[in-house]
Amino acid sequence: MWNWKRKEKKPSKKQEQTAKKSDTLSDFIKALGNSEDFVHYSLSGTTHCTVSYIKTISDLETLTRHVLPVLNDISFYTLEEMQQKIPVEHILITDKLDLIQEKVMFGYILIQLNEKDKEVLLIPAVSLQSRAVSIPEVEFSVVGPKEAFVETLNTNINLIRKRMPLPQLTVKEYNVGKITNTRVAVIYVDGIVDQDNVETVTQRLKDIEYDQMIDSSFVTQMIADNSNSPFPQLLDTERPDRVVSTLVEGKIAILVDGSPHALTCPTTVVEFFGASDDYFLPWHLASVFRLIRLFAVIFSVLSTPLYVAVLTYHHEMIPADLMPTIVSSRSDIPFPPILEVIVLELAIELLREAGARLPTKIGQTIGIVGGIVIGTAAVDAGLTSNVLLIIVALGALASFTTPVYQIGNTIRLIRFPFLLGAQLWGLIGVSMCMVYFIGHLIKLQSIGRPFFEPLYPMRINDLKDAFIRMPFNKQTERPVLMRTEDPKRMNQSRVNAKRDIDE
Amino acid sequence: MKSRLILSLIAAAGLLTGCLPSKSVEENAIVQIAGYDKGEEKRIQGTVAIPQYGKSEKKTAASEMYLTVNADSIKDVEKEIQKHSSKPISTGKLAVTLYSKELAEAGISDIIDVLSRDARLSRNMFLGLVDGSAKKLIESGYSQDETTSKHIQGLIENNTRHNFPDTSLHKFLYAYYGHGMDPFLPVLSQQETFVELSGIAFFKQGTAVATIPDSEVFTFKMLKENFKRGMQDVPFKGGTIMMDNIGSVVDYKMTGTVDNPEFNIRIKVKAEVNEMVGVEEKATPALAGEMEEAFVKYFTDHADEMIKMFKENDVDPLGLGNFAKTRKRDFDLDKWHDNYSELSINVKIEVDITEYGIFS
Amino acid sequence: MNKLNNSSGISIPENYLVTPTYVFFLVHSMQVGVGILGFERYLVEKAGFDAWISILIAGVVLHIILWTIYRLLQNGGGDIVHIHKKIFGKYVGGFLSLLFSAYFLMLAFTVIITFIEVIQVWVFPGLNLWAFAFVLICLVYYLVSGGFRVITGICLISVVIGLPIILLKYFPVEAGHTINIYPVISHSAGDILAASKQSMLSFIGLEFLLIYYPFIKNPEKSKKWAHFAVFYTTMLYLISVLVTFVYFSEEQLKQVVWGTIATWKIVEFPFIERFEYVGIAMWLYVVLPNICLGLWGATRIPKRVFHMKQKPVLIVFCLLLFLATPFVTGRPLINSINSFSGQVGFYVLLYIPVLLILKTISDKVRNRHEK
Repeated sequence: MWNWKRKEKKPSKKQEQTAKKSDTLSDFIKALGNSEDFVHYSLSGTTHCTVSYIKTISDLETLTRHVLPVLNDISFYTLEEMQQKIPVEHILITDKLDLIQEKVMFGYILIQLNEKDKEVLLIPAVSLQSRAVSIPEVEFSVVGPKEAFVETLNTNINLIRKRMPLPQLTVKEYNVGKITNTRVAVIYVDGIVDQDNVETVTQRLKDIEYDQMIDSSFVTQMIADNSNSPFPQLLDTERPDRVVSTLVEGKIAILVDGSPHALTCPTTVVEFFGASDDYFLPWHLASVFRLIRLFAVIFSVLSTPLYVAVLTYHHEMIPADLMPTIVSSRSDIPFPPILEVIVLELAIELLREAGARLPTKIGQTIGIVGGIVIGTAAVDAGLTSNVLLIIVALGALASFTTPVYQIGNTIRLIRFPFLLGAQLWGLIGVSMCMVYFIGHLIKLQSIGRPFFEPLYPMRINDLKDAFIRMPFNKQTERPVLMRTEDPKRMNQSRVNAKRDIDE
Repeated sequence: MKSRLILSLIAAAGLLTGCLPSKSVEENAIVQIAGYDKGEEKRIQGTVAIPQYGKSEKKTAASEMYLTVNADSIKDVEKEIQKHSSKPISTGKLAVTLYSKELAEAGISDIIDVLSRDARLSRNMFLGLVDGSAKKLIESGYSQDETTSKHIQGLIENNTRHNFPDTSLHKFLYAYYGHGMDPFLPVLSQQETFVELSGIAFFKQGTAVATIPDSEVFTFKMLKENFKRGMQDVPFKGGTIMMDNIGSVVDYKMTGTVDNPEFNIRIKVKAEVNEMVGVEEKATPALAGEMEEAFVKYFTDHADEMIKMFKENDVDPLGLGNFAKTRKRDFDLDKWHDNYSELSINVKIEVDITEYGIFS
Repeated sequence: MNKLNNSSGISIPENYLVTPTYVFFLVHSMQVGVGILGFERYLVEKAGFDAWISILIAGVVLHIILWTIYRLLQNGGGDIVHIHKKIFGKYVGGFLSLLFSAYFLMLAFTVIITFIEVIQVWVFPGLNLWAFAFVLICLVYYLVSGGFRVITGICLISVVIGLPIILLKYFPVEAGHTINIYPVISHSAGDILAASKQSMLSFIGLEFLLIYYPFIKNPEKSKKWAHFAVFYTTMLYLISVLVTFVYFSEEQLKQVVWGTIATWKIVEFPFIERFEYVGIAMWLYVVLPNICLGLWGATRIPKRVFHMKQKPVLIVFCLLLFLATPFVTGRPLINSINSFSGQVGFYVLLYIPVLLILKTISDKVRNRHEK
């Protein structure tokens, strides 16, 4: 289905436009007749009728097992009779061309008593070709659920619903994309969610003017508050369990048909550094790991700029005992630190990009070849220093610790402005760059809610689940950010009831 | 859109010109130790050691380049050295500065002024006097795998944890500029193959006026500050005992009027005795009592003598004037100086021997 | 409150308001600026090591002034522009408000040039002023154009990032001599008061409340936060002063231009030495709220007086700052600009109680007329 859309993109655009003008069923059938996989024939047995369907997306088993035998056994004269006798659910009778078009394109079988008839019978026989639910690959966790979203919307909604059998779980569907007509589902828990947020999201979804909607990341970019920001303003995840827990917090999830990722919003910058593992481990361990991750991110962004700043301008800062190590490792290098760093950073980015584009097995080899062979060779050849190689490699490693892939990309990129700042004015340049990014984060919003949230505006309640994760019994309220209609997570008096000794 | 483009072009141009002239760390001649001697006529002879770090393999190679120049002032030394060096001179990591005793006795106020002004210098830098020529001391390598600066820095740092009182550029300037106190510096002297800390020199307004030998340093430190570790040998019954200090506390008290103050310095020492050479008696509690008495007498005598010496030279390294100032509101510095030589200072020492080692 | 705002012609939409808690950060971060890096010396020149008492006196005076400011604003409804207009009429009031705008701009300018001087002396003697001023002012423009909420955020971040710098005080205390601060009160009351006046210069920044007051949600509740901020600033200054007093000898400190930076120099960690470079770089966060809020206040007043857009004013003021900054170099000039703006700030603080009295009188007169 996916491929088909892509191939047919350009011609179908023309078709759509002409079809809309000509506006008759026979034109539609004629247009489809250009495709080899469109089947259109007349039955002349017991029942006289024409059957049309697209064989590549219709389930032929429904046709041969349930439809054709009935049509051949009984002779029908009206569509209503057929609707009653054919043992398939949700058979439609309609004369609306829009609906007919949409359904046939989804794989419904179209039956007409007479080829000139405007009223038709639509039998659902959609063949869903999809991957089986598999384990998450991007957001892998050692403990916890091992299911990940797949490319089918229905399966994805199923994965969410089965974790939350709740009538208030509301699914709203929209078709987005002028040509691809992709189904986009907005999911939220009614009664917890703030209706303003839902309105914002649906409004923005409806306002999307674009011809295609291939993946959820299209939605992220199109409904983002500031699409020029390097920071993703909607969190994307492939874990249904994560989506469910954000829904319970009062967030909104957006699922796009054909994309194995769910988007959740509103989100904050700290959420990008939280993994679902954090909730599966005891709170102190989880907190420590979160802090390590935070440190890793800071290290990844700042390590090479600091190297440049200190070596270029502030070598007084290097302790005397460290001086020989650094100076002797740099003594052969013909480049200034900034050039050395840029070359090495680019090399690492190259490796990463190559590794990501290649199949897993070759990708690993690239990593080893690049990391060890090129690295050692570069040091031997006197192009980079040992110390820097360690720093760059650690920085790259640290940037992989982010649990959400999108923010990892951001971190990859934002260290380059820092490098520029470091080369310009040393540490002061670095801190100027930092101020810029902090200002940017303060300005940024996610679905109209502050993106830099538990930090600014400072909300103590939300800080309980930000840099550290407090135990569940301390997190008595849903995040303030969501302005949820039902802020209490639990009955606090019952939780905090203290027991005396031996009671 | 066009205005944005122009703006970003201006920004780019501005940033490019904004780049500071910079030299990466390895392209600097990093001076870590500098020494000043009296040169010909009224000039100063400056000597610096610049470590030459080898290629990646031998990281701790101790090769150093020594440059000696004659110049009119400290900054001139820097300028002159620049002439001899292929790389820009960087004084930011200067760890030790040495002055020859000869120079210090003539006064180093000008040099000190430069030190307190330069934002690049570390305040934790060590200053020291050299008994002899600073040039010679710097130029003779001492250790295969240490640079001279690191060696001397380590030497002073290590000893300030034991017998020597705490010293640094900041401590020196603190006493130098402060009223009612005078600075002191360690004295280094070069033996045939090594350098040793051979005493302390006391300054009066940037001029070295007196010194004490190595053996008296322990007593001085005891008078000056609290400390935990140190060793002193004390003659006892024809032999020598080695006293390990395991905690000495000093307390100044001032009584009397502003015009006629009286100082009581109380020192409490906890000590350990581990070695007795030439003492023919067994270690018994009674003997310990005798030892304590001997220690008290020894230290009291030496302390009194030292204070007498301070008075004779009109130096106040103990900061008694400063102390008096903090105790009395209407403190008059000039009067204090006039009265300093007549000041009555009583030193009272208590020694408590607590341990005799693990064998008795 | 809404009614009040409407009557004064300034109703700020709710989503641009900040909660009362942020007044703490706004007041505190505006008070602390470049002054704290080197104000010890000026105090010591006046009152020796008794200057810490002066800080406490200044703190108390500031609490009183803060009380006056709140009194003025609570009765006046709205900001300084509105109050001026009510008391002095459209033209005189507008002129006085514009003087405030100029004063705010001057504060921002003072902070910029002093910070640049610190960088020149301690880090980069050969700094290219044009380029640096350009980037700094672009940064400030970016932040100020984000509006009051963004500036408040920067204030918050500045306070949070400034916290670890306070921990560095441990090092000089460890190396210092606590007996230095004795004996208590060895200087005359006149000296101590003179030093109080001197220290007041580092405390200015309160008066910005006069302009951002309408941006506070439930402003009555913000009162305690503002007082808390002044108290915190006083304590911070007190600690800084005591630490430098402990670390330096009195006569030594009289010659040290930037006492606090000099104490950073001795900070040593196994992986890093000479913390003053880091400290000065981090100080950017501390001075930014000063510049941003100063510029915001300076541009907000013309907007209120002339009912014009704030953005063009901001661009003009940024340009002014950019063009003026590179010409101001050298300690004597910067020093005199600093003390001038300090003096002006001092008189502005004195002006506030006068304004309150005038306001009370004019209110009474008006009431009588109405009756």
